[in-house]
Amino acid sequence: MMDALVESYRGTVYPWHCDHMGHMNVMWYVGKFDEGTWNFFSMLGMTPGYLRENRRGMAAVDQRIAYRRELHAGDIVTVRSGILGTSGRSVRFVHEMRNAATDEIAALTLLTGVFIDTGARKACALPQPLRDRCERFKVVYDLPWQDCQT
Amino acid sequence: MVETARGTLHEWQRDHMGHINVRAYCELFEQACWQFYAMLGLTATVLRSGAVHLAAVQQNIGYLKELYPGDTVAVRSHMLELREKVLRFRHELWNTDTGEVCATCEFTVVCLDPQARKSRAFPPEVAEKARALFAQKR
Repeated sequence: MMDALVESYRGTVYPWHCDHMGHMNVMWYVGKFDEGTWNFFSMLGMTPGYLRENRRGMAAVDQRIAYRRELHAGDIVTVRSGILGTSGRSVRFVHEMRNAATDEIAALTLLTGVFIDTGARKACALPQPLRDRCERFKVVYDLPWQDCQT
Repeated sequence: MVETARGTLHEWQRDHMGHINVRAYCELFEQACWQFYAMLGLTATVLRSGAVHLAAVQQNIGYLKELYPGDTVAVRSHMLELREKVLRFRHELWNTDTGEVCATCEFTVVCLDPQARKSRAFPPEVAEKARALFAQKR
């Protein structure tokens, strides 16, 4: 088990990510977290090649987001990620977005994804090698949601 | 429930899983927010006046059904709670062809003083508008 989150995304807030409230719009937090997800999955063994060759994929079923700090045009951001747990067909993981200049947490998200057969469009079992690899990225994270502690 | 958005999903919103990406669901929910705020009196003019801004603090999304390019969808919304400085509401994204609810989204939003960047009370008209809007719909 790793005791730290791993970096899965690094980027910048552009003016077109900001809305008329002057801050980065919620939709872009989701977009940046999603880019982090694909990088993180690749570290877990679910590389683009693996998913294509095995006709497998992931589909999000639940997402919680806590917005902590506003981000503005020009801010640089990082997303770091960790596994909270796996079950037969699903993975629960956390992303933490920080302002890379100030190191303040900008947002947290908890995602539940299911492993799918992309031909049948049905959930399927997460193979043991992937589950083993997920274990290596497991973290204990103090989530702000009372009903979903690790 | 009031209708707050309507649209169509496109090929460029499809990801490499073959289905519409989560960000597109959130784009529809995001569009719906501003229509919903306007119905509560928080119109573009009010928001531009500099007295009031809004910031989301919490968003919970349930992705229930996959969507594909060409699907026609709409969002309907209702108020869950209005406190002095905090508004909670729920969106449902539904497929207008099949009638199925494809995703749900609960937002918690705080009213801000844009100068101080601190929370402030919602203008009193918001509660009045909410009462009028949701009393009719019951």
